[in-house]
Amino acid sequence: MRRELIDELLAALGPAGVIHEPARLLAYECDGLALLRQRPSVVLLPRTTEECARTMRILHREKIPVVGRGAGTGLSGGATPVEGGALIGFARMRDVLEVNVADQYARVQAGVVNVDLTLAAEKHGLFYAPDPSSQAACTIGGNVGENSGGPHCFKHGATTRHILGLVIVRDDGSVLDLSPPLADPLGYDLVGLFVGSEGMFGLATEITVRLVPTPAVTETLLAIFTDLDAACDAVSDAIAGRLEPSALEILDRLTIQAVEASVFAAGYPKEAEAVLLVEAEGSEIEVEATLAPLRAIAHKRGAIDIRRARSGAERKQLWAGRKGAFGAMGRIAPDLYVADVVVPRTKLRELVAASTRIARDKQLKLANVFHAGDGNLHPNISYDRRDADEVRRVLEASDEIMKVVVAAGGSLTGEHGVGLEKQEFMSLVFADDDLRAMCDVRRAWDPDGRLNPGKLIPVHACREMRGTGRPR
Amino acid sequence: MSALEKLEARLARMCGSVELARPRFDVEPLPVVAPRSVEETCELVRLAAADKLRVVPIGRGSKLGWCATPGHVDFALSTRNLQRIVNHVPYDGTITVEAGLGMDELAARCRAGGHFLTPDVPLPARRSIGGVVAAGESGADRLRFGPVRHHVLGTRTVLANGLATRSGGQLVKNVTGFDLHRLYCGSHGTLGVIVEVSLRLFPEPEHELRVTTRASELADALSHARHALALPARIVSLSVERTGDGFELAARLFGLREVVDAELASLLELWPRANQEAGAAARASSDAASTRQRLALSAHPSLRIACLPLRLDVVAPLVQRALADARVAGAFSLQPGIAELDVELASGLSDAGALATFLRSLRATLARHGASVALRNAPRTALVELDSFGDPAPGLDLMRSIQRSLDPEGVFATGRFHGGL
Ligand SMILES: Cc1cc2nc3c(=O)[nH]c(=O)nc-3n(C[C@H](O)[C@H](O)[C@H](O)COP(=O)(O)OP(=O)(O)OC[C@H]3O[C@@H](n4cnc5c(N)ncnc54)[C@H](O)[C@@H]3O)c2cc1C
Repeated sequence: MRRELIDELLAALGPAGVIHEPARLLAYECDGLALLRQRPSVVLLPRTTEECARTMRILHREKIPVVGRGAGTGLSGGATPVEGGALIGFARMRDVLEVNVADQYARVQAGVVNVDLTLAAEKHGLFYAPDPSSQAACTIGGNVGENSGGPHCFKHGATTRHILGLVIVRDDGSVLDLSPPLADPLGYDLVGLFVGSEGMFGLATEITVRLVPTPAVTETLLAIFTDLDAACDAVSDAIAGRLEPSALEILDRLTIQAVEASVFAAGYPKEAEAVLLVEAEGSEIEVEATLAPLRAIAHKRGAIDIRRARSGAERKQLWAGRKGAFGAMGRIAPDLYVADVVVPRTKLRELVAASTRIARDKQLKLANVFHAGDGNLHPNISYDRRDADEVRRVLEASDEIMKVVVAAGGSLTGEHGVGLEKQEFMSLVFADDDLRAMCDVRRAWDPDGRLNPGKLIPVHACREMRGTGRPR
Repeated sequence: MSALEKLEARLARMCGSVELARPRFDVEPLPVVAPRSVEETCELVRLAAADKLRVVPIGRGSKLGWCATPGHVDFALSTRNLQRIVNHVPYDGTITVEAGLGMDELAARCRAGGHFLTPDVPLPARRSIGGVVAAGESGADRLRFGPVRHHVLGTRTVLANGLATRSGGQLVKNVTGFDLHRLYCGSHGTLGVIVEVSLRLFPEPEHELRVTTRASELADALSHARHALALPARIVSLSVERTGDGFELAARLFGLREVVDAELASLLELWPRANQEAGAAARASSDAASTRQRLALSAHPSLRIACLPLRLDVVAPLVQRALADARVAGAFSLQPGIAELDVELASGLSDAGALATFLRSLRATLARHGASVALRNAPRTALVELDSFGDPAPGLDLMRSIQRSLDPEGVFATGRFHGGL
């Protein structure tokens, strides 16, 4: 990048706001999809909406492509830099600006870490429902970018249902303030449209989120199965029975073993083939009324034991195991490929089995830990990035899993987004005409296609976008 | 043969029959054509694009008065003949249907699968699901379930190029692609014709109650409501309706029997003199008593005022005073939990000019409290001066760009929605 331009950016953001030394740029080469790497030409870290807007005006003038980055925990390459492009990071925008207790909302800067928002709300008897397992690191801006989910989204819905307003810096550095939190949009629902746009419509700098009252009672059960199919069937039964717990999560044997051998050890029985983690919340009566039929279903499906967390601490421990599962998998192999697909909840058993079979056929280690209540599978494949052949087999397995799932009426991604990872698979679910409409809408936001170019839309469908593509 | 007759004849050749009607936006009689399939819908839109005709998409026509009069329209395209159930998976809690299906039939179908359909709208037989989604019409049950746009999992929409395009999907969780269905929800047909909708469903309640009590003053009613909302109960809807001699509060409770019974007990501690009705009777009387239903049938203009819940305690009395000062009579109802107020302007505003003056002043007063005021069923003459939706909101330029991007030739009638979209 030209020296004068660096100087101009330094003047706009100060020395702590501009990273341009090649060695320091290394840390920004990839997000959680470590298979894809690209060094950005500069990393910019604004502190305010105004600084972000100023930066964007400069980049607009210079026609430099821009990728937004929260914590870089995304798993689909959404925050992978583009060649010759700038990365705008939100690591210095970490202020909780307002917690409005009476109207139950909070206004935060985009770089606020999910769990910090939860802590800020907790003091007031409120909580922010979307709780990705990465919540200790991921940012609210990144959650908006991906429309992230989490175990409790089974009851409360994914991020999009919790975003009331946004301040957005547009491609040209203009600021669009959509923050007045009225219940309904005035005009088109730009906020709803923006959530999940993977950084391709603009950069959210301030976010108004809905908070909900902390339930009076929360109960967590752990049902232990000697058979993964049976655990899946129990969840399908619960959905068919229209039960409404707040979370239904499954961990399989390999995951349990990894968790139990790690710092996240939660006391899951190592000999189990699967555990089903169930949570219910509400009044005491409601929780009891919700859990009783779930217990019966688990028993009917052959659970050998159902344990109840007896204290807040025990509950936290059970969840720490679930939320630390991906991290714990590091014990199995150096790298982890986290797939993310959704299946109709009537077909949990068959599609979990199908993905396990696909991995086995390719001599890969696959562990399942997933948001079963939503049908959101995460077949996780452990591998070693240095082994080119293994990498090839991992990608082949992931392709096959997507194809099988889509053929069964499932979807490509439930919460991690399309990014670079699934771009070319979009044509499995959408016709070119569908994709063209998406391109048309994107063009209205970003006429030059400078924001996160080459992501989400397959290259053939939208000529103005050129992707780096997925490694083959 | 006049131009209109020629057009009618052409449309009839394509879709079987055309009726000449005067939909509720107060314009000249208009050919209304109701294609029998998604393919026919696409053909009609292509015809319009080729011949530079302007189209207004409509469902069953119940909410056309929510939007301003369109500038110029050649024909209305009604989805009312698109009624297929495309995919109902009770065991997955989802349903996908064509847009013209009536809300009554859709709700019955869901009920047969053990599910409750939100939004629970007044006069469901007169509303199609496509119209409800296109108008972003949430029910009073939004207190419990949230707005309708949160439960639309995906749509199929015929765009100005005459192609039926998909967004989202049929599953309860899905982030594949941009959420264009969120854009179409509440866009009042200004971007395309929604022809198919996928929805998330909720469990049909095991037990249902309607609990009512009275208050003589608005302030007391608001205070009763506030206390009820603070209970640890998942109230489905809570309304305050003005009656001849005061106000009636009604809370709807439903769910598992023992949960509802416990919620009732806690509500009765607050409202000791409350009346109750159960089951179907509760549902029937909450429909019949609702001002929303009355407004849906009313020929008078009305206002939908929305603000943040906390501000309602200030906003509602201001509205009440403004109505009294202007001697406006008509139904007056509010939904405290979701901070929506519905006001019928049945009498008192003698002409369009008086309505415009009243509304402008009310909007100015309420803007200070962050409230929005939408005007429904206004006479055309008033709308020359007034926007149905109030002052343009931020983002209007972007909304226009989106509209131009999806409909560059202006096939769908504009000038109807917020800020002239
Ligand atoms: C161990 C682990 C567990 C995970 N568990 C879950 C889970 O349970 N549920 C889930 O949904 N995801 C999960 N994820 C994925 C990931 O954490 C989420 O996608 C998260 O929302 C990303 O947040 P981030 O701050 O890291 O964003 P990034 O990865 O930095 O960015 C994500 C996307 O959002 C865009 N973006 C970032 N900030 C902004 C902004 N301010 N404005 C506009 N666009 C922006 C980026 O350009 C990119 O496209 C997990 C990841 C890991 C590593």
